[in-house]
Amino acid sequence: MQYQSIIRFFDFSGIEYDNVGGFNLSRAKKLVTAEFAMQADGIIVVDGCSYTKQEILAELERRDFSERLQFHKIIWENKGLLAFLEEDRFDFHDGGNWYSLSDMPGFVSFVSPYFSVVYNRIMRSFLNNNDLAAAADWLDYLFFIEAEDEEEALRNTRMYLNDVVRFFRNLNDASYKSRDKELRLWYTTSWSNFINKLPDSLLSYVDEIVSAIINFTVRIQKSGKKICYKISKELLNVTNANYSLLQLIRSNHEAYAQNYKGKTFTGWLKSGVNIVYVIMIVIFAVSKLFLSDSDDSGYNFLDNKVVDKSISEVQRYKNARDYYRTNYGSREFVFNPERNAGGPFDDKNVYLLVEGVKDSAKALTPFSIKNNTRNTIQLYVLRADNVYYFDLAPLEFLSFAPLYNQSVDIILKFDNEGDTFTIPSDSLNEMQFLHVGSLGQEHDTAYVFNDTTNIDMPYLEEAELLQKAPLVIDIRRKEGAFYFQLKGRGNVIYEKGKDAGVTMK
Amino acid sequence: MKAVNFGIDLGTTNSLIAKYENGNIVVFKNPIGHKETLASVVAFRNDRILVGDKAREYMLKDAVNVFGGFKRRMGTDEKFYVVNMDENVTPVQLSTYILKELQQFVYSGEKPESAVITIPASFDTMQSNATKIAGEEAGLEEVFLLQEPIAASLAYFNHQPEENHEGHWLVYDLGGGTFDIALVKITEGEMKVVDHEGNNFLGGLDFDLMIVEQLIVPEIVSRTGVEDFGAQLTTQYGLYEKLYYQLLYKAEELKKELSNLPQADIDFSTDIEGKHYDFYITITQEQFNNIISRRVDETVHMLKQVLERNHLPVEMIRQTIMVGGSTFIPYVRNRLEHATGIKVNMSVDPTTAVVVGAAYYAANKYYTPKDNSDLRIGEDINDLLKDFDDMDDAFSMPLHDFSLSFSYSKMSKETEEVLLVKANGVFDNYSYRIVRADGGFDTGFVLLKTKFTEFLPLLPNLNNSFFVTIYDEQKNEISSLREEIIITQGQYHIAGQPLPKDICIEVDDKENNTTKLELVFEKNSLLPLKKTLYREISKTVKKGSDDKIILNILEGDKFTRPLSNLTIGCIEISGKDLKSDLLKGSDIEMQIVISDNRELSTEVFLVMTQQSFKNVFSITEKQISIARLKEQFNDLEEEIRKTIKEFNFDDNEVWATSANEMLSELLSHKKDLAKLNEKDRSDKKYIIAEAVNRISQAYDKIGGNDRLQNLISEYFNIKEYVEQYLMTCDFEKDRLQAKFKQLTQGENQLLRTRNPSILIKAIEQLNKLGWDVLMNTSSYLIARYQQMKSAPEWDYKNYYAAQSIFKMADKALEQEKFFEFRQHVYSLTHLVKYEESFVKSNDFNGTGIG
Repeated sequence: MQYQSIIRFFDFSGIEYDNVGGFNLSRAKKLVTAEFAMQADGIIVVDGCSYTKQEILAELERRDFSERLQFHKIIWENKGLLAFLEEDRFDFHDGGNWYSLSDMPGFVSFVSPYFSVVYNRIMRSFLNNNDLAAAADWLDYLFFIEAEDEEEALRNTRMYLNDVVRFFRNLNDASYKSRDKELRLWYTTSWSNFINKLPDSLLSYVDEIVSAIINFTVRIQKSGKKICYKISKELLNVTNANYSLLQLIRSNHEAYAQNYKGKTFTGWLKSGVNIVYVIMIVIFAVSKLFLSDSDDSGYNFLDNKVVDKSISEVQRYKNARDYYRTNYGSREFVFNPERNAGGPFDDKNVYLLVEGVKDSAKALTPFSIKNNTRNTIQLYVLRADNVYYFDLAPLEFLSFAPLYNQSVDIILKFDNEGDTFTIPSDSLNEMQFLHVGSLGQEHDTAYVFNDTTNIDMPYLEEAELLQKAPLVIDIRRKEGAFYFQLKGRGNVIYEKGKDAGVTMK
Repeated sequence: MKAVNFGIDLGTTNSLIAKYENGNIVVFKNPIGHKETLASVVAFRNDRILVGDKAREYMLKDAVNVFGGFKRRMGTDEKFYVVNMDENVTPVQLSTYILKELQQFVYSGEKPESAVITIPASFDTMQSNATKIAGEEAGLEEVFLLQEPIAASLAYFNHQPEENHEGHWLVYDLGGGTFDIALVKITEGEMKVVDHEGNNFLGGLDFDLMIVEQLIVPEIVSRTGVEDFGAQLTTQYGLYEKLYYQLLYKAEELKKELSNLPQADIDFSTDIEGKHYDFYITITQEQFNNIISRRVDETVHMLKQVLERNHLPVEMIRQTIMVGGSTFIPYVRNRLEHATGIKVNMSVDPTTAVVVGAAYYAANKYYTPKDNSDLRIGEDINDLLKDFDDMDDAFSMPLHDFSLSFSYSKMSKETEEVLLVKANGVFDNYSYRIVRADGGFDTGFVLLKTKFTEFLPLLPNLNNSFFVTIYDEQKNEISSLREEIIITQGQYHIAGQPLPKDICIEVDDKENNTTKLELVFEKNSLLPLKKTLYREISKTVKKGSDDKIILNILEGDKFTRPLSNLTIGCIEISGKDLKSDLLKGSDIEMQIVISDNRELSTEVFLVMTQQSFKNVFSITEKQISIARLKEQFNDLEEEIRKTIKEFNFDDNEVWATSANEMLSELLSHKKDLAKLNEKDRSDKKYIIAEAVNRISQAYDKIGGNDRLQNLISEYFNIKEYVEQYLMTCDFEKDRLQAKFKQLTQGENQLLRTRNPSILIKAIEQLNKLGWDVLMNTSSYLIARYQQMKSAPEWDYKNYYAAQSIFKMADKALEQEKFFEFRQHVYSLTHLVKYEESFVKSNDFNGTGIG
């Protein structure tokens, strides 16, 4: 459905619309009829846009017209968004100006049918130009699209992904050289970001693509060591493939790395650059051992990021923990491995519990929390009888490394007001929570919370190192609500979110 | 611009003309005979042409040179041979005679420059265009078309202005040749046609024919012993052609008598096989009712379909308004009321309702006269001369160098109406004033602007007169520009003409190797309509090649297959037309416009080659793409064959027999089709296209309601099944639920279709989803896996690979890694050999638009 602003027509015909609540529908329809009666062919062109009586009257006669009118006004006032919807004109800088509209209640519902059409075309232009970085950023704009319009919005994306699968499936160790022009994208750019950001509806393509690429690297591991290594290295950054594929990527890469870079440490060390890396690592390790006081304060190298603070709400924190354990945490559950997302949550605090396991091979440690929203999230962690809080800026990761059998609970605060979390004891039953377990693991109601020892303090994680994490909790915001996407081995056991009762999984 | 004001009912048996004048409708009478109706009959004598009742009477003398009922042939290329002239005439030409004759009825001598001509609601674009052309050839500068049920609604509701009309009404229009049923809704003083159905071959003429065939012919056969007399009678140019038309004439008279009398007689004499016979046949009302009952029931069925589609119980319908000469038949009224339970309303004159409504509509239609007079609004030549006389200096005559255009509705049910005025030219510091004649409204002096609006308050149920006066800078009235606006309060007008059928384009459905319809304009949308579509080319077309991109624009039902719709426009772009190669995936922009009169124009722009292709379609350009026709033929043949197999499998002999007959008829054209090429000048492609279209529609109707009910039942069964299994689905549940929602969200509309193919497709899609759901359910996967594991080696394409997958799958199952387990089961399914019961051809060309 192509968008064309009705406000332009209202301005042309002098229909008053400033007062949305007082819009005189009857008079407006009369004016519309009178305007079109004056046109011999029944079509009015305003600033190059054609309007018919059918279009205008159909919009006016909608039951939800007064609500839609305010959205039409918003789009009209935002010329960048208007140009995008009407003329397919877009740039990211401009997009940033209207991106926040995705939080406005009702706006996404309104704009989604129009947005999806243009979205698809813009995505096509990025993909046709092999600009996967832009395509990855463009995936963030899926916030403006509802589930029923997603198929239209991602039509070209699906076609592209199909082409990628076909491309890799049909390359062998001889033919790949002649197709270097197309292959180059896959060993010179950070395409994993695009793959990682694909929405749930396209996850099946992720596994297919990853499998196809893995198979390709296997085929060229001898004849194209460098390309194989580079592609494999980028594959390491893929986080949303299925777990067994991720493991396969890691194990393959070890082999490719050895193959490509040489077998001996001394050989590796012969490179001057590599010697520097070794020295740096030694210094780092030493500083970790001797210079950081890991018990009570934050990490030195994250000085400006983490604030160490003892607060007196330890009891409140413990109350929240006990409340959860008593009322929900000890229940039976039905295993559902596909439940890998929690939400929607509103902006009240969320109690997040990541459960320890009995089998160390299935542990969820280390795990990371990524802030994929546009605002800072504050995290509170109880340790050594102190509650610590950390600011997690947009697009940053925070990692936790408990022992495998340790459960970790964290309280997340979204509203950024003040530095205390607010869980008054009399409103615990309104608390939101998300309980995450390890895929396929038996739910352990014992909950070993070992707050005093053996939990590394959270640290900010570099994106590259995330490939080691069996669990990444990706927090996103859509239409004013928060969603927790679990990547890796994590599985939602319970959740209680916005306007919802307890959902047992 | 000037108001049209004239309305014409161009009927199958009778035609009329009327005019809107200051809130009233004048139906003109024939100056000879003073009848309001003009018989739609044209007779060609040796010396002159007769039109109307005289022509009808002439039928008894020289039937072969007399033509009636040609409205049914509008939009076709059928011709009538006139013996006396040794020439053919077309339905358009015959209609032109009628329209010219009607203009003589206007007693004031005024020549209508433009008119609204009514057409049946189910007239297609070709038929509508033909009517328009007839009007133009009759000397009308501009012709506007209006659907007959809308006209009848306007006539009825404006006939009783005081009543409260809010709610739903039915308009039942059974005329001489056509039938329409329309559902009308009135809310807050606004009238809208919500839906309609119709049949262009159902009316009084058919009843006349049935009297002849079923009541008179048996009597003749019984007396003469000539068994095949019926066939001989209806043979064109046969021995009894004159008798045939005489009998039709008499049958019509008899029919009219039977509306008031329990029985009537028909007498005639003729020679049959060399022997002279005198016949005197008495026919009762009961006999007549019996023979027409089946056709009347068809109209009842259509009425019920309209109600069903719109989910309206009969209690929600206020009344059924009866329009058209055939509603005088008591059986029609009684049967309708009895079968539907809805009260029938005969208060409006069934004969004149349509033309009265046309005139009401014409009051609010404007056209630009082709003769651009130098006179400005409000001026006439006397005013100009007066200005000239008054001037001292003849060369400094003050001229008002500007003009005004007005737009307003001449009738309204509301308490106020808008007046929109546009001023062009020089008018610095001029002002205007609008005063209602009774003084109850006065704008005072307002500075004149380029465009302004005023809302004029209306006194109820009256002709409200307003005077618009213009003043110069010195506040002197410019009398020559004074304009009187009359708005009649208490009357309905219609916002616009609705599109009677869906307009779609045909696009490729690559997944199913076929094409499908994509809706462009929905039925009942108000005309005119304009849309620009952005699509992609679905196949590469090399420059200079014979390959083509085909834009087929179809009119009909969006829920049917393309083949069952009427092609109203076609643009073919071949490789030879291209400046450079057109690659798959490149953009194509298509702009489609349908005017108020349903004239279709398209413009196609190929972004890659920067080329534009335009076309305006009219009746004279019947476009058929032979390449597409061949593909459609093959598709239909394949589908019918598949259905025959299914019917045989289900032991449904009756349906299988019908399908076989259709297949035989279709195959009878196969040889000719194979020989056709693009340069063929004969009518063969039209004949074959018509046959394919007709067979496709008939094929859709096989099994009728029973088959549809079976399919609907099957649809609900599969829907329930999928819904149930979705609850227990373990993987990709969100995606599958979204897919289910997508497939079922159009269900209401889907169930309204009368096309089994659409239902079959919907069932297939749900079935496919069902399999998808099962393949994402652990319990099913485990069972399926066990089954596959126990299958013998030869069932696999590569048993060695399958064995290694068994190992991995067993391990995953043991470790309860169900997600991984699922992947292994998927991999196994790719290794299993399947029978290819039917392999789709890879030669699908389609339209090239995706």
